[in-house]
Amino acid sequence: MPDIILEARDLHYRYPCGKVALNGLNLRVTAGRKLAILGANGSGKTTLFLCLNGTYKPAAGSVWLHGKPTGYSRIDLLAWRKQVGLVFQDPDDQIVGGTVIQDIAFGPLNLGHSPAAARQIALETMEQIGISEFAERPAHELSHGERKIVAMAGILAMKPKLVILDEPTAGLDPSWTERVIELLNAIHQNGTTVVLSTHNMDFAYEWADEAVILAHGATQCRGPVDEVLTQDETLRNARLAPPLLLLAARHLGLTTEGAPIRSRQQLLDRLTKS
Amino acid sequence: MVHLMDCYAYTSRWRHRHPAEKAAFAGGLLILSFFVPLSGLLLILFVVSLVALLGARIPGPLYGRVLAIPLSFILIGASSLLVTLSFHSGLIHIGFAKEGVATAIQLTARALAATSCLIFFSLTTPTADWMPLLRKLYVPAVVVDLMMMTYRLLFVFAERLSTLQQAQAARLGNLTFRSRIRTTGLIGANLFIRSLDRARRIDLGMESRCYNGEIPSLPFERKPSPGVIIVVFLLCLIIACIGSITQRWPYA
Repeated sequence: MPDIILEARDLHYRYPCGKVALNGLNLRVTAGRKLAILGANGSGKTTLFLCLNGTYKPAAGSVWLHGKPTGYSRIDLLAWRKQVGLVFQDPDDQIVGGTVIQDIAFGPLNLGHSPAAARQIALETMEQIGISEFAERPAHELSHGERKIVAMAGILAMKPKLVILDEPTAGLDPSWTERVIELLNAIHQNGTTVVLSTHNMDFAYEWADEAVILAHGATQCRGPVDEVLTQDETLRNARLAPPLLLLAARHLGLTTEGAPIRSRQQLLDRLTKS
Repeated sequence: MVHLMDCYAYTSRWRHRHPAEKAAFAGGLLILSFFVPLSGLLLILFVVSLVALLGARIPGPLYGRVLAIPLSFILIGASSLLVTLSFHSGLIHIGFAKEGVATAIQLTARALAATSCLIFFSLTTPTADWMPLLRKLYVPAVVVDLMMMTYRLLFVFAERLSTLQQAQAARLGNLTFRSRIRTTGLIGANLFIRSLDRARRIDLGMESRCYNGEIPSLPFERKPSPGVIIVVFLLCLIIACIGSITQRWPYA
């Protein structure tokens, strides 16, 4: 029986303007897995994440953490957010500290750590991520990629069991994207469950273990990534396109035998062999 | 200019000195500049400039440029003391007020001395460093939090403003005076709406990081040096004594 760390059951959420963002959404996050949530703009990904972190309270349905329904009292939310960290798409929505170290220490200080302990946690987190040299830099002097990493560090410093990232590679150049992917893999190897949303199908195909397709505020399809992303009809209905890697493999007739091709290197190796 | 000053403060040689030490020096001399006579004011200006240029190694041209901006306002204000207006036989007479010269010089020196203290502090201490100090001075948390958020958002909106201006200029929004006015109005309205949206999203961002009503901040790692505080106190005392002794001297 897989260990379900977080579960959304029949979530409904409607914005005050009347727009329905979530419409009976169900989701299960298995501990230790890498899950990609895929959906077109407006499919409900960000709203879902805000519900999964307790920031939004769904109009109906419930969120379950470690097999128990979550509460919305301040104490419940504190315990919830300590375990489930959310990294926003725009780092400027999240960075509040004047300097990088001040911002990374914000979470640990809110969790009740002493200033000395919070400083130590912030320094350790920065060292793990490889951004120690940023410590005393002002947040407004950082590039977009650097701010994304700092926003991630701000959440990781709270040592959550599950990290949710809203479009972590959006707006990043290839080198920053690679750095973010390395960081995500390192977080995962440290035993943290990682859930992210992305439009980058190639990245999702290469990186994730499981994928969920969202459309119109509901789950359309879920399962292992190489099963989900080969369902062309479902992808088309969700206004998504299959990964280029998969299309190339299909076009070259490399999908019929052997393990599925999940990276550019695997594609090149298979081409060289054939 | 504010951005430039803050950027410089982050790379300043005295950035890692405790903000309380710098605040004691700049604040002590600033308070003193309200009371001492001209000789004391000139001494404050000299000491602050000396410490800024030789101690903190603030580049002279930068220090001069930053000081020149308030100086221009001070000179305009002080020059009004040199003018007299009188109504005589239905005509307005404009004249030179000899008695205003001493006051104008005093006012200029006082304002310049006080401003130099502030500039010294601004160029050596980044805003993010001195804000936690306000909590120690019992400034209400809500005021400090507001200041911190304003400081952080100032740069976010400055970046947004710059992008909006470039986008409008690229679409020829600044071609004529009329279009410039219209563009400015549109940018203002856009920024206002975006600022409300940003405030909402930052609120969500803080909530998701267990914000509990007060923005906590890390205190400075080291404690202020008692030696520096004593030296600053003695310096203020010496300047006050010199000011007091020279008070009755002519032109003092």
